[in-house]
Amino acid sequence: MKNEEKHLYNLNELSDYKVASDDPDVRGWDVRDADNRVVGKVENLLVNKNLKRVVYLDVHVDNTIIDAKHDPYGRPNHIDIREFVNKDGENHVIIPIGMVNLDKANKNVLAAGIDHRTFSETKRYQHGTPLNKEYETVVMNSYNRQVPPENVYEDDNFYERDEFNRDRYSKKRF
Amino acid sequence: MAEIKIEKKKPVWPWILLILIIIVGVYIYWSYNDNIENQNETEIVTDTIQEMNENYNETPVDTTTMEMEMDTTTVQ
Repeated sequence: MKNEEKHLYNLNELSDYKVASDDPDVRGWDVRDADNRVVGKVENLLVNKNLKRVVYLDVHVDNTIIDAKHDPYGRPNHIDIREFVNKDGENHVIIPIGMVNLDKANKNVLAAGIDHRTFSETKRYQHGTPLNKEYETVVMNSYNRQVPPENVYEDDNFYERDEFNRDRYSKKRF
Repeated sequence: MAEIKIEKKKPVWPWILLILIIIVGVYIYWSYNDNIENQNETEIVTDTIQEMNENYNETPVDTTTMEMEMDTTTVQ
């Protein structure tokens, strides 16, 4: 991926920042899909420094996701289809923070709106690769495959979408 | 749905500096008190020696009378 102007940081990279004291640090928690199956583990938190909050969970996916047969997700003919293949070593995927619930008692991240197939068909990346806006848009379009795909966003207003806001996203129906 | 905020870590160095200042302050205070005690002890010892010397000088011993008495008894 191209190394564009950086807007997302791994929390591990920011030595002078930490998770707010009244919020849980979910690194190391299991991630479960809509069927409550474990699809991976949170390895890192991707933050936007301007907004001072986590916007994505960086998930190291399970082998069940990697081994699942991948089919490019279908699109109506009038919309451009982006096809991609997940390569060997690409075993990380990002999940918008607004699309998950936190089970603090059992230390689980619940992605109730994303099923196993969606996870396996979403484009992954190799750990350590810088993320760009194009990849973020592709992932968002994958998770929201019921709606027409978005174009690549330009600024931090992208994070005002429902997928990054717990109150608004909770009102969506899956 | 989840929301996780981040915040800046509070720096540690001001607390370390404060502890060092307290340690230095306590050390200086003890050293100052120690010097005062040493000075007081020196004055007491000096006063005692001086007092003893004065007492010694004020009471001279009369040896002449003792010699005269001894001569008288041995003549016989």
